[in-house]
Amino acid sequence: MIRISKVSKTFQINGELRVALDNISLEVRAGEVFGIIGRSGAGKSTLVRTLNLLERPSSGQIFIGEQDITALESAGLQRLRRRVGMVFQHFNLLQAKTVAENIRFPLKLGGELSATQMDARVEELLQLVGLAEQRHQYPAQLSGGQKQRVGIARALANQPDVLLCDEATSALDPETTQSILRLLLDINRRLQLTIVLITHEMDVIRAVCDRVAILERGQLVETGEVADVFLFPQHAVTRALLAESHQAGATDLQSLRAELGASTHGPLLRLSFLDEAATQPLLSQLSLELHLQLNVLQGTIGRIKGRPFGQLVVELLHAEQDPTALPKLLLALRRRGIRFELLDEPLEAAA
Amino acid sequence: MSFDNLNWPEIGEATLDTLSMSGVSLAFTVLLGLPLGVLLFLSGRGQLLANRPVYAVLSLVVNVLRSLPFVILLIVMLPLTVWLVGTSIGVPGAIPPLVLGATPFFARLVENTLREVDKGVIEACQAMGAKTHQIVWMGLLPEALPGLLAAVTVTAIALVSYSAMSGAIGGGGLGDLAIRYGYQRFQTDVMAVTVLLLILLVQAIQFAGDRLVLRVARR
Repeated sequence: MIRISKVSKTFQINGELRVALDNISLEVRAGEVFGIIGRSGAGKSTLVRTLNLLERPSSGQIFIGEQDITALESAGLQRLRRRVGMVFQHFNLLQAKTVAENIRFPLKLGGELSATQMDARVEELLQLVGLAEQRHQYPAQLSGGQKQRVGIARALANQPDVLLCDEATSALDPETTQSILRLLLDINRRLQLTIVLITHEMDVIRAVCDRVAILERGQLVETGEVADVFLFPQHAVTRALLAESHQAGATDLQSLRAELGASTHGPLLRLSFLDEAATQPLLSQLSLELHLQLNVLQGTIGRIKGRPFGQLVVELLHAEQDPTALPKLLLALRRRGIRFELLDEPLEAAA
Repeated sequence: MSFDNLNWPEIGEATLDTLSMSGVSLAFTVLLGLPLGVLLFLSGRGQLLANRPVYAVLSLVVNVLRSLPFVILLIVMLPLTVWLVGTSIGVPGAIPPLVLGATPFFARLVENTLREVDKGVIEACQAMGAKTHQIVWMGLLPEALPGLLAAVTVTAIALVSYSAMSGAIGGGGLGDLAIRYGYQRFQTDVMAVTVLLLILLVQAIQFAGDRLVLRVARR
């Protein structure tokens, strides 16, 4: 659907060259929700803005469908932009227009629809985002969540192939964020719309994204299925972002051991489960079956876009009295197909 | 103070002259100043049609015209006025200098007002595929309407006071009256009445302008 090929972007600020995007290549599949996450200044906003050429890449190509959009000049670009909707962090609604007029605005730009057709489309969109009753209100009279619903309806007006969300929930409170994310997911499923969203919050990625790319200083450091990235992060930046959302996959076991000090000395294991495995009483089964005692040190249970997952860091107690305990446990885990990571060294060796 | 010198029909006529001078000049000022202001805004740094040389030239012209004291402008452009309207006196003779004096002033006000419009809104229009003229007509100007109306109000008031000055070179109107009777013939009563009328006129314009701004500002 979208293919970004070796895209770089440099800015000149006060005569100094700053690299905002450094040779980024990635692909977004049709119908998926693709997340781009990074800290502020990582270049994620610049990256999403290259997708409708609000920002022109300094080099590289971007394909939407079969079309190389970086080759487009103004008229073609305006046509492309009608096929790519965009939702903004600060909504960017026209203050002097009502809800209905804001949604009608992009329809008027194309000039292809009659007034009745536009009315019908506006009505449809008002229903879709649940703002039929607010149609005659002005943006200033709306709550943040309602404003963003108008923003979404407006972005969808011309039935785009792609929806770009530039920190669409960052200005909203947690509850409103959830309802906007639900709306986005609903739209993604119902209209089979490809969504590219950028955020600095892992929780947003976890709630709605299928795949994710992690940006740091203009470089792509990791990309993959959200479940994989959450459970088995490869890059330090990814771990740090996960740690901020209290994800147990974040800290590596050595630093956890160092943190806990002398109070733990048994082998540490990080167990990761997805889907059915995450819904079973694994720990109690293991301890009953193998006569082991497992001490839970850290854990996360939740859902990744509706899929149950869990991640626990446990300490195997009394391993020194029973040298067969650890091999038995590992065997049982392997048999059950549970992915784990093991740290079998005491603190002294680790340090 | 006596009021013997007051010639009410003449005062009435002078008031009408002031109104027509200011009114017609205001119409032309908006007609010329609005596009100029939009162009100043669009060609400015980081804007939609950012163009350094164009902005520099427009800005220079505006600054030069604004730095000339109005009385001097009146005199300097006498030949141009005659060429344009065939006379340099009366209401018609006053209008070209008034327009030329007020247009750069209004254009600057327009530019500043447009800069106040949230850049995000312009960006959203671009992202929706709007052409530049659509952004200006459908987005920028309606968003800036309250500010633009306030700018028109300020300009209208400036025109009333400029028009009084054009009385100095035979422009007619209340200013002319004040100078000829109040100043040159020491008729204090005429002076007082003209000043009072000018105050009332300015008050009325400001009041009407404020009401209008309030009506269109729905924020």
